Amino acid sequence: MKMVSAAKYARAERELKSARSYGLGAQTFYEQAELNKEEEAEKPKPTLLIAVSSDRGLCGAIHSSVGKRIKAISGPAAEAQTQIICVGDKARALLQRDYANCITQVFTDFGKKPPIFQDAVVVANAILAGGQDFTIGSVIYNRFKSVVSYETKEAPVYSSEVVNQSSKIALYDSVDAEVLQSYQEFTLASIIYYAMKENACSEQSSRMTAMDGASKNAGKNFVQMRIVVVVSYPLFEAVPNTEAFAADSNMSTDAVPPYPWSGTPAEVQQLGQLKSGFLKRSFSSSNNAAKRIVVVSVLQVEFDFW
Amino acid sequence: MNHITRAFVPLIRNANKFHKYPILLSSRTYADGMPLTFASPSQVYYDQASVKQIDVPSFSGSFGILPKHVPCLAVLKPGVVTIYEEDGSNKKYFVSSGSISIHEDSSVQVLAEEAIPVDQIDKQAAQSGLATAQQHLTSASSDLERAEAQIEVEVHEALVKAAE
Repeated sequence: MKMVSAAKYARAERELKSARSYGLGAQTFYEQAELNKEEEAEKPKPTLLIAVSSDRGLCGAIHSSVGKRIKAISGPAAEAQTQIICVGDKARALLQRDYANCITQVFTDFGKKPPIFQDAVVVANAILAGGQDFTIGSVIYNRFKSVVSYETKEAPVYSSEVVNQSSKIALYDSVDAEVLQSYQEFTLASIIYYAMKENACSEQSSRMTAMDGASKNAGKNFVQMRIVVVVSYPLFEAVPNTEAFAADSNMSTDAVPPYPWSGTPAEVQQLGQLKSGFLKRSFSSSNNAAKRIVVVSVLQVEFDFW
Repeated sequence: MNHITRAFVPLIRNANKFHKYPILLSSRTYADGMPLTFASPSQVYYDQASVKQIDVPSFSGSFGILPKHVPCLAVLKPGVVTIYEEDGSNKKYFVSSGSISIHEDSSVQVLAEEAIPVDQIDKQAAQSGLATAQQHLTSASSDLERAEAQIEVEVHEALVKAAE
């Protein structure tokens, strides 16, 4: 599992490199228009929160840190006025108990495959079509810092009204309503895409660490292994034809194991050696009863932990 | 990266002459030129790289961007973006849609939904794509479908044109 998550992480990090330039580019306008730079004190609270997570766990505190941030922004559940959009099942699981009234949309099926732009477009379209009435929104995600650290961050998104009220917007030439609307829609999708990519990379790196820990723990507990081997006989023979079996495999009747049979690895090995001789014979002989005896199948490997 | 370094050379030289202490070179301080970010979601072509001129197709008409262009927002139209690099060479990319933003500090962002170098377009695939798109347009029943097919046709027409 550690190897699998390491491979997924490597891919996520590679893809993040380009997504990051793209995402930072998409946010530049809001920075340049000085929408992001307002004083902390007078900055209005976002009313639309987009929680970026996934469907899969075993990745440390990735999802819960997004959940916590949303709870911190929304305030006490009873008086929360925010609209929450959950991307990924984990965010919903964390928030649905207290903030069920706030959650307006949930998107699932995230986390199995790396996010693509189309995923972000689906979310952005649903937000725009859902008529979510927001002035300031915030996309909450985990920004990837290094393989051992991430940072929960917010990427602000604004409605066209807020952009129009900005003091800097007058500087921009030929900004009519239609251009601004198209620009805003595309920027929303771009920012969500960027947040998804960052979050996916943080998630994979955390999962790799979690899996590494799990493997180490399992290694300590791995004490005894017992292999259950079942010798199965044709169903129509109620009593196993042990004599035919023995005659054909050159074994004494006593050596034919009872059904079902289980043994330790050493015993299995011993039986396996006997059987391999029998297998060769039974498949090369053309007509005898033993051929119908289905030989050995390893049904189950039991691990005993303590 | 080469042209960025080159753009910095006079700055660094002056810095040594006039300042006892090395000045902080932020990525946003450009003497002339314009830092261009040109990217699609899956690939970055220019990341705050200084270039001479950028020609972009937009819904309010195609236009060229030179340093100190008036700040502007625009929406990309399917077509060809041409980038003139500092050394005089130019590169052409096909873009499907996206956004253009030009800021006060001369920085330019061209973010495309899809962007590929023009020489990588498969002309035959583009033409067969156009034929399929036209079929979609004729068979479209609802307004939404028609609009989507219309966009598909536009993109493919631009793609075929770019491939020529």
